[in-house]
Amino acid sequence: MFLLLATLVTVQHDEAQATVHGQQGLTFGINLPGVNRTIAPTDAVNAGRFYVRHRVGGQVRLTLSLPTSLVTGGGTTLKVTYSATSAAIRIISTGATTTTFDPGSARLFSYTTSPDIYVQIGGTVQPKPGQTSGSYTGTITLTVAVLL
Amino acid sequence: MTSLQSITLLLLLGAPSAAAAQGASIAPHAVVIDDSTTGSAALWITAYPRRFTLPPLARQTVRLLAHRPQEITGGEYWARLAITTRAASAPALVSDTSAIQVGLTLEVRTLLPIYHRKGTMSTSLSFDGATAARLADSVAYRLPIRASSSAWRSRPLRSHSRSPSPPTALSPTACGFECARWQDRITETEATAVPPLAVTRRRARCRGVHHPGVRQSR
Repeated sequence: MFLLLATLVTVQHDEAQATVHGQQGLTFGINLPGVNRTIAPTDAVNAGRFYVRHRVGGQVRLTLSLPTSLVTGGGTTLKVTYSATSAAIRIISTGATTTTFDPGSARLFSYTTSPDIYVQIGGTVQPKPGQTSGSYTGTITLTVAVLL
Repeated sequence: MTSLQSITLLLLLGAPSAAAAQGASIAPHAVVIDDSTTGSAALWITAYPRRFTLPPLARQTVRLLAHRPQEITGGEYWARLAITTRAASAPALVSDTSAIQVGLTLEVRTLLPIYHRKGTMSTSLSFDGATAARLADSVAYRLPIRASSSAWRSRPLRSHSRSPSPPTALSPTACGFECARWQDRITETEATAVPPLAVTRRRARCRGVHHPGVRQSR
């Protein structure tokens, strides 16, 4: 992504190799009032997806910060919830290996076979009957603490 | 990276949970170094530039400049570099104002440790003789831990318990303090130089075996 240089400061070289970026936003599309819609974390088209690369043998702590309500420009809110299986880690080199986890808890991940993983996030929106139309948006933040 | 990314850099102290990863772990208790008061380099390290927008496939060099105060003592100082990135513009939703459209954007925050060392570092941890005293239905242990380190200097040590459940009533004469298995309840203590770790342990099962390395004081 970018290069960190140190002047009189040590940033451990291995740790600086971590690459993290958001690849795809979580999309619920167009919804109907009174009808919940759930997106699974394994949904390739709609689930939010982060890419996290680190060296094999390294370890990172993944913490998701999730909005519980989405807002329109006018301030109208829409509830969004997450279950214990609304997040998933997909190890890229091993193909279909996907492990779900609770996005409400920090996850310690050790790279043992692949330097590349996806962190995927789903959820459920719950439009109320009579929910005001509009574009509801929010931000999911993934904090990656590089430990080893 | 295939879109414009707005990037912000911030220097901060570690969160308590992150600091636990830097502490010595002494089963079943974790002794962590409290980084909230000393040892911070966050105030005198500056990133240049602090905020910028990165075009796709571009690179940006960020320089970290340490303005180390003259008066600081030798040792290790640290901070965490928090790099926050998000797409410069939110993804466009369908322009149908009569529908309920929902979308969440992604933001990434990467934390990298930064260490700044002045002088030669050395660290050690020594344990003096443990003492124990009967206290109602429990035995109170006192385990002095002495931290000698030019890196940690005088940071407080904190003790944590894995099982903070209150003790249940047991007869203090049932097995004296010759017990082999214990369920722990730790009294939170803080000290700066020679922290006494006050540990209260409740007997869970007694075998009549003297607990090694413990000196009784009544």
